[in-house]
Amino acid sequence: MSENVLIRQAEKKDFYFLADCILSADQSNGAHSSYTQIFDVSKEAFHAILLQMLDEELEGTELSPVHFLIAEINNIPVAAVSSWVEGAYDAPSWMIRSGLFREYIPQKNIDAASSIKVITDEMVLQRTEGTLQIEAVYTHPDYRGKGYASMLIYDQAKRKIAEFPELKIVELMLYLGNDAAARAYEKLGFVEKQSKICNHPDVLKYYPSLGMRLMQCDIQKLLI
Amino acid sequence: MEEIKSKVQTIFQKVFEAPALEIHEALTAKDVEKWDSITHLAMIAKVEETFGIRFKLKELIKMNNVGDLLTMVKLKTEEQK
Repeated sequence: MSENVLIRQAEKKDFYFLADCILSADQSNGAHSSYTQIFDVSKEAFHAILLQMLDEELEGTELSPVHFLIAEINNIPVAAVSSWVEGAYDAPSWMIRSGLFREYIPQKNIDAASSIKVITDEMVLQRTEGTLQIEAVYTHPDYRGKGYASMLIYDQAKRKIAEFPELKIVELMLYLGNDAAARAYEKLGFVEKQSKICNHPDVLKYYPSLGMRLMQCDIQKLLI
Repeated sequence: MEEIKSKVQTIFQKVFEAPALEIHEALTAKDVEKWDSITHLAMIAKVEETFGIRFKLKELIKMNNVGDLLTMVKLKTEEQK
């Protein structure tokens, strides 16, 4: 691991990189991000929308820059992870996310998402209130395999438990089929708690995978 | 308020595909099976269209339950008079 890695809070100058992270993390190892497909928006257009959402600097979702930690090497951001305590802010994360969608995504594109509700319904897993959420885990391809994501997750857990001493469980979601990521999380102590498969024939038009997996870990295991 | 509640209930029943749903002030998304981020957007859009109002982002985020929604609808419809 490089000794020049700096772990720091995301700043306004990182918003472009954070938007990259959010989109790329969601795309996972698939052909496209669910955001662009569900809302029928190009990647470039959604990237611009994400910048506006990040600029709101709301707390409580992965669309909140305040929750991101960044790994930086020689002044270049190379990895990022978002983390927040579900339900600890104004509203559940999905409601804050909805509000941001409503504010910045054109109504016709929101209508496009509503039209495929029968598919999106089958891909939703509920986040557990009071757990530490890990989201938008992303490492630039040139810097993978060096443990930067694990380092960021550890740092997130350390910072959050200092702020919320009662925290016990860490939770994350990933697409089914992302086995490399699942193995990496299992090494950290995560186990699968729930999974969901969408049987709709068009699911892969909108999502990188047929389903979702929810994994949990005792926060103390991460902090060892 | 009863008229507002009645109209909002009709919207909820349609958007969440729950014809027997009866709303009350403490009702939240946890209590309604199909209330998620996408249907929430549809519900909000329908409420805004029905009452001719527009919620601000910070107002949307602070709505913890149906009671908060009804109060906000009442406030905004009265602002327009």
